[in-house]
Amino acid sequence: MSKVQYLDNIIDRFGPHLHDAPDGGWLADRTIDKTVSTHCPYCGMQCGMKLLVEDKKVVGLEPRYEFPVNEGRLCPKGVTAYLQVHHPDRLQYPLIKRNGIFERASWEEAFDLIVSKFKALQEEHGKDSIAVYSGSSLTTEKTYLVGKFARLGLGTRYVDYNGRLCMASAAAGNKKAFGIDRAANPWSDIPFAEVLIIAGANCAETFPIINGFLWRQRDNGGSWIVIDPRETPTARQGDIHLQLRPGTDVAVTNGILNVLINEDLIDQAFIDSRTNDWEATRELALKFTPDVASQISGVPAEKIVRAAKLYGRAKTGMVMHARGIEHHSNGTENVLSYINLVLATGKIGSRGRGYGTITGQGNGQGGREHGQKADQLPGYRMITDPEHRKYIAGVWGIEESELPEAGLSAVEVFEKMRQGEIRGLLSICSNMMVSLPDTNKVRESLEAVEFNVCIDFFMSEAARYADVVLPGTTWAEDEGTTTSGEGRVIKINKAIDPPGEARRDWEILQEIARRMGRGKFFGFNSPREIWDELRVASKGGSADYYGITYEKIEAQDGVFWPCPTEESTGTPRLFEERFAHPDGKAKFHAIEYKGAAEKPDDEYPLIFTSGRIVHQYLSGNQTRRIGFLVQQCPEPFVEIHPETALKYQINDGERIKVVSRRGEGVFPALVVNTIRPDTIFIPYHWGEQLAANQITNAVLDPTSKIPEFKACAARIEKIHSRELPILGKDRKGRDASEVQKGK
Amino acid sequence: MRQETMFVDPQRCIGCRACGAACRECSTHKGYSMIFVDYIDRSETTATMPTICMHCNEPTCAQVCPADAIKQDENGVVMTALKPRCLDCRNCVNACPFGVPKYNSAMHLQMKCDMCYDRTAEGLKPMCASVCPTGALTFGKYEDVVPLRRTKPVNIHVFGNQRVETKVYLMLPTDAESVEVNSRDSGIDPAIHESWIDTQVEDADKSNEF
Amino acid sequence: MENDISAETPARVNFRNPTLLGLAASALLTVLVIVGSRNLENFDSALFGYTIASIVAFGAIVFRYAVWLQRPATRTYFKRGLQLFFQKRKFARNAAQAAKTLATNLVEQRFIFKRSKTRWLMHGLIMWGCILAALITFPLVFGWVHFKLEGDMGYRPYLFGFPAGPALEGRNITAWLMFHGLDISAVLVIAGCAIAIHRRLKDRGAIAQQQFLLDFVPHMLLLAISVSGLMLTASSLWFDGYMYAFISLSHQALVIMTLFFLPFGKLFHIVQRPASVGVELYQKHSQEMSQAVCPRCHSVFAGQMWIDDLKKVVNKLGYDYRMENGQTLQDYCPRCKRIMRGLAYAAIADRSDKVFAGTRGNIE
Repeated sequence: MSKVQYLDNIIDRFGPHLHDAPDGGWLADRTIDKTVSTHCPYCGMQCGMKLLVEDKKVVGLEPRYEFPVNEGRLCPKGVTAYLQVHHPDRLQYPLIKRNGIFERASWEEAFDLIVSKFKALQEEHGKDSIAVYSGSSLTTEKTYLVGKFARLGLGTRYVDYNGRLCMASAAAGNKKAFGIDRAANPWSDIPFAEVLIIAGANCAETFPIINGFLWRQRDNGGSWIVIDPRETPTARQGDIHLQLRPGTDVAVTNGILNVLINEDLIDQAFIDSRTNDWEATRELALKFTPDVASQISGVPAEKIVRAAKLYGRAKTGMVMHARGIEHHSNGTENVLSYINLVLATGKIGSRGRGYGTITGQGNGQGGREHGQKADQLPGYRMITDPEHRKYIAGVWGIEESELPEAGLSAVEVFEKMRQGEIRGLLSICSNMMVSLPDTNKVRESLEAVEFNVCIDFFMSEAARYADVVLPGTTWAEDEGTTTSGEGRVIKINKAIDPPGEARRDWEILQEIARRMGRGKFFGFNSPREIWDELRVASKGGSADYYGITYEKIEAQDGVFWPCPTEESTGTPRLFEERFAHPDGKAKFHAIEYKGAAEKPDDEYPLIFTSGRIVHQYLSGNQTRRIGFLVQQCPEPFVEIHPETALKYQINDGERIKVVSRRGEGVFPALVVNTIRPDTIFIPYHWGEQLAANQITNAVLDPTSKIPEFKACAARIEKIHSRELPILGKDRKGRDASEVQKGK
Repeated sequence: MRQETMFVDPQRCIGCRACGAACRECSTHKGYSMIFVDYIDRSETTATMPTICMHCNEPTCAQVCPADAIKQDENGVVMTALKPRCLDCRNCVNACPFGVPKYNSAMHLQMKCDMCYDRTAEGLKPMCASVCPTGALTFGKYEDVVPLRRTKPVNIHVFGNQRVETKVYLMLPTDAESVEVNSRDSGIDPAIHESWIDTQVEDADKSNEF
Repeated sequence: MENDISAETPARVNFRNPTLLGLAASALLTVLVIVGSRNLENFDSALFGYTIASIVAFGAIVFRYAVWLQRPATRTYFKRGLQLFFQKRKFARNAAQAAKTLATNLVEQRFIFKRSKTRWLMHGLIMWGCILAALITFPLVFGWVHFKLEGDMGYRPYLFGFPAGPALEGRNITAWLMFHGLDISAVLVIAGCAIAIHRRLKDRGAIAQQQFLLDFVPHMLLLAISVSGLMLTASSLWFDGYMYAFISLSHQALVIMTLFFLPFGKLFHIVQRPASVGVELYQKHSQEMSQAVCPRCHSVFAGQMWIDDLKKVVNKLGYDYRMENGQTLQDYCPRCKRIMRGLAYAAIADRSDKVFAGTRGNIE
């Protein structure tokens, strides 16, 4: 039972504080002891970078020109990533909350407390009274260990991770249509596509490095069709922008399919030989004439026709999408409806012809493949499949019956905490107070939990609610692999030792397991040992990592899974000959238009949508502490179209209240022509009173259990505030990323 | 064979300011960024304008320097002011047609982009062009860059009656010969409504203090 | 446009001719040496080489300074600085302010401290070492100061032939300091140069930009002078004058080389730097006067007098930044200049190849 009673105290001691210089200051006369080739800790691009180490401190970076994905390119988050390593906010010793104040504790004390509480809870309320909640910024080794730790160390069925908020719809859609969940093409295929359909992906801000490929495609004479409710930098740079109403993707895709069929731009031979279930999809699409599609989506019919013809007539083309279409209560259907376009035109399975999801988290791909997902086991095996259970039980040396059943998805787990059914929580690498929808409910969940342990290297907004906070490590202090958005397994290398008393996350989990009496399953001495077990555990699964060794990764600049044997060099491109369903064919899905779960009405007349900005990463726990990044955008804002602003008499820069059925927040208005008049937008990286997720709707997609971050009903209210945006008042120095104290 | 230089392609700019963050890693002005990325009008578009030193062939900044502190090297790179000489008079800051030089009054110092002298001297690409995600800033030889692009490198600007030729190129449509800052189109008249995100930047950003 | 510098007509004899000024300066110094040493009565002929070199170097510095002042921007600042300084009613305030600038900039050197602390220490050591050395040597070299032995009392200093102060006892601490002043200055300079050379060998920024002749040679000269000077002391104190003549000659050669180096490279800042007093005065005054308002964003960004002066300088240098709306480019604040260029770029028509479609401004 842990509330946040003394927020001032927590912020004073653990930040976020702004820090903007390497250890010892900006010095040009350093003697660099070693240069460590590794990757960026942030998004799914997993760009290569080199860290410069002087005297056991990371003091700078150097572009890693020879890494083929980014060839030295980095976004501002990547450039400044190393500044978090020696950040003064770093947690350097365990903390136990007593009377609302975090007190320094020894590891011994912390472990004793955790183990005694967990044991007591489990004795009284059963094994499943504790949940483990993880994240995808961890290395694959750690995510594998999290799944094993939950199921074997604690014996609970409740383990899930924040990929639910990220990749779940794409994963579910891919699985349904193709039988496997991985980007179909390497990014190096992009430049060879004549046309790109980029849907719900603000690549420019969220995956800046993919723009290198996009622009090479454009230099080759290619064009982009961008589908987005906002005129993002990517939409601005594209050739055709379909500025649809949030949540109406299915209307647009069915409309495009309709034109493709009527203009005879489909590939009937491909459909016949390599797909199933076309007829139903075709019939449904025929109902969606451009006019019908236009009426639902708000995109001019003429533009839909133009886009369809452009994509249909091109010999090569790729479809890419991201959270914009996936964060919906019908996210999986959105994904499937885009895959329909790919299959109908047969544009898949060769260079420049393909499909891909743009993964959000650094290890979004690897993190979802090896068993920290509620219903999955390593190697993308299903926990519900008896065969799969048996194999993993064998690898782990247990009886199949000892393996817990499937658990619940992230949002559902937190709902169970709120209801008191789950009483203990161990979270790692996740900041739920920012990332989960409906912040107010999440707060209730965290306050309801009886015993809450958090492993992190900064005091995140969610960690503030914990009873015990254990200091983990940044990516520079441990080695391991991640799998990037294109399915390339890459290697993170260790630059320095953890600071202070901080320990590597896998060591912490193992120690807890050992003290829970489960030590015999957790005898790993290094990430490599975990990796070797993971390889065996994944063997024969759909995400087969067996043939991937650390050495092969270094030698090949990464290995694309599946890589089933020692001899295999990996599989950069999928579906060249067959799809992963048993019959080798892909599946069409006839998708009827449903729209968002909550539609605008008289009380809440606007559509609210959330998203990201280029200067912050996910929940901002890492990036909201870096001076340079915060200075570029110190606080969230709400984008409003001038027409809407005029209607509510709102001035540019004026603070206004945004209200939904779940909650409300005050944000400065950014009056711009780049958004639809019926839509408002807030970037989501902040917590507490600045959280966009106070507004969002926690309704879930029935298949993927992804929450609907991208569309709900809201209204705006003028509050006659005279306070200027922080950007205007003071751009340098101030700790502007934090909610003002005393509020 | 021409020397390596910078090619600026603002249409590709996504406003991420990775260049600005990376610029601080350069040893000649460690910790200070010498690059600007400005919204051209956020209320209308997300388009941004990246500005680095264009390295004029006849640099106005060097000419107006009373201390003769700004020198060009043999390759035409216009250098940061010589530290012992710079008097912090800021003539260069306000004379530069591109709005590039920065100053710091406490340090009595002007600094500007010197095309990563520390890196190019060692055969490395400048930091900004190394990290730029889209190639809005590209470093290379003219003959290497041109075949890769559908746009044309131009190094002529016309400001009012003044023609300025630079070492750095701007990528333009293939039928354009220069960029002209002289008319209504280039916004030389009072701005009607700029977004707060454009305008309410600190005074420092307007006067180029670093 | 009466104030326009270019409007001034050249006089028949151009007193601004740098060569004339340089020669005049040398001549003046020669006269001062003759007068100050009472017709060379107090002149130490052993120092003759130094004296000649100093006189030539002085002329060269004045020549260089005069050349420097011919730069339009420098001249504007110089004239405006003097004009502002001698303003009626404000003179006292100006003097006070100039004194303050002198103290913070030239004595305390706070601006170097802000640049880097070790740099400040380095510069302080070298500067005070050199000033101390100059204060001791030049009066001796020019015969303006000399000492006379007064029986058992010790040495009595004479300034321009007049007795200045009491006789100094040999063992007196003041006397010791005076006689060993040059050794102290040598130690200071050596320490400073060591820091400087260390930095130049290690700092990546410095390594990239430095030039051997301009950045290294001055430090090496100062170092060599200091070391050879110390060797002179050592030779006479402990080694009975071993190699004294040779060391003395080398020392002299090094000093003369350095003196001739003064007008060039980094050492010129020694005579140039005091101009910052004028610049600061100018900045302060222009801050208090009416301010330039950017015609585009309406922000105040600089003093109007300054911008007007700058425009004249730019014009005189042969640039013409006047635009069709009557403004000059320099009327705009730096940010607006960047944005105007961005807008001009975005406005370029894209007739031949649609690569630009939508990529710079609004979609379609």
